[in-house]
Amino acid sequence: MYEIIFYLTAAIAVLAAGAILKVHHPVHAALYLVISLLALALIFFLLGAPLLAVLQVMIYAGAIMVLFLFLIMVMNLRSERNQSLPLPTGWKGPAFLALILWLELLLLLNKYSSEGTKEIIVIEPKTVGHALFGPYLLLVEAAAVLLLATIVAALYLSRKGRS
Amino acid sequence: MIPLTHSLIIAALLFTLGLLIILLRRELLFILMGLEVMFNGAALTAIAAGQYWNNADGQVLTIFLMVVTAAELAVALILVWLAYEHFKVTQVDMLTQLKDDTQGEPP
Repeated sequence: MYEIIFYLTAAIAVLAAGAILKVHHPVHAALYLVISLLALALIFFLLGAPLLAVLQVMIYAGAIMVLFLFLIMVMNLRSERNQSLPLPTGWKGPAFLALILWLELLLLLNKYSSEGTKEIIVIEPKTVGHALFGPYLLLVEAAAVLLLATIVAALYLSRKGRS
Repeated sequence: MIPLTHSLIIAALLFTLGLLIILLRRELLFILMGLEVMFNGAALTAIAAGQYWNNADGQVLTIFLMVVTAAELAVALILVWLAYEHFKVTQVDMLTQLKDDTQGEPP
């Protein structure tokens, strides 16, 4: 059962990534990218990394996809097709894959609570936190500096009144 | 228990697909999406290996990968927007401002 869910999720992740190759509209590509990222979050959960599964949903499928969609909206590509919403044409494929993912999640949550999982070795978030703030503390500081530099770069590049 | 090889195969497939997206779709937005897919293949490799050896280092590596990806995308998306605003292009092949003028006479 566990193997079936894992391989189905992996197939969804690969299929959705392959669908980006052949779609035309950037919004459809963004939809498939969200599906691929969500499937990968489920794979992380199945491998036994619940913290990374949650972070994947929050950072990738949440924050980064909002950035992508915002840019697509700002650039307003294919303005000649603006009258018809992209919804009626391209939503079925991503919706179908998302439905399969959702059913898998329901099944998984039922099994998780009932019989437990002896086959998954879960690395708890506590362990990750201890590693993060123990031997890798310097890297956390470096990541903070990197994020600060990114904020400065973003503010500089998007300032008004550029010549 | 899923064997490590299968996770690595999936990660390699994702990485190859991302590379194909970058090489075949020459639009700037699609290139960034291909980069995302490639980063995710790398993250899957790190997590699968970390779970295989029952070690938290794989997850730590993936957290840093996410931070670097978010920082890279925030700047790269602004650059894509600026390229669109200044040059009205979305294809990467049309951004030839830094290229030498191969038609003209050599200096």
